[in-house]
Amino acid sequence: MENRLKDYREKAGWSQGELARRLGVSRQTINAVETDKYDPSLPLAMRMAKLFGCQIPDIFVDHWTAKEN
Amino acid sequence: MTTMPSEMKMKSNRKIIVRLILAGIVGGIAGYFSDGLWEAEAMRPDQVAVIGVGLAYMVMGLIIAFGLIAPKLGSRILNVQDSDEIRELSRTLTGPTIFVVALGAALIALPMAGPDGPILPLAGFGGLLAALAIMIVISIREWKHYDEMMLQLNRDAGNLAFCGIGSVILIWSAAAWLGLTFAPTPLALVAVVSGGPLLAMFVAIARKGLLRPH
Repeated sequence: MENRLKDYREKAGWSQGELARRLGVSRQTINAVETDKYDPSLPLAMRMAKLFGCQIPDIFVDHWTAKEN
Repeated sequence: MTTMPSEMKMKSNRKIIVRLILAGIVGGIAGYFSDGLWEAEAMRPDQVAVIGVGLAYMVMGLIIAFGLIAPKLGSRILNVQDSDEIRELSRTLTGPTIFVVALGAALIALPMAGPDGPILPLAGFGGLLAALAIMIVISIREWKHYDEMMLQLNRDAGNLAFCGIGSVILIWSAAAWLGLTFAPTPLALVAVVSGGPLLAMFVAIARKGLLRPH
């Protein structure tokens, strides 16, 4: 999954630590999400979207497409 | 895909070199002592195995403790971005570090405790129980401070440890019953049960790619 969390964070002018503090997680978690080592839970992804004023698919882009029967 | 800037790459390479040197020194010291014990036939293999697991816990705990005491130097050894990250993690790391050092000390002392050993049996047993009591208190206290990634890593490590330790004991015991090998001794079981979770945690962290230097 492609994620644009780093772009949104940098656009907001926040460090990883600042974003972690706002979301109530550790800086390691933010770093792991940004480097595609960890996929956040749905509640955390929703908090991220709310914080940046966008939708979850704006931050996390899934290129999966359904197979046609 | 993002590429790592050359300055970050150099920092990351330096970190790998420092860790390799540190691992070499620790491995060399541990090897020197275990070879001595082995050659002197002062200890059985299961005793050496438990001491080895205890040393692994102890060394890991002391390295993290060093990082907490001296965050600037610690950031060169531990897998963190900078010293501030160690300071941020100090609240969640302090408790587990105390437990890891206590468990390491208890495991090193246990094989030396016994009727013929230099440590009284009750002291060896009491040390282990005290380390486990510390673990329970710290786990209950720290659990609510873990974030979701930490909780998931703990769950993954727990599952891996359960399956790994269970498989080893099941296969070993069955093979021993069938006369294919020797039966696991109590200390061999202690080594498997205490070493398994540590190995499982490393595997869980490595599977997430979190052992790669920042």
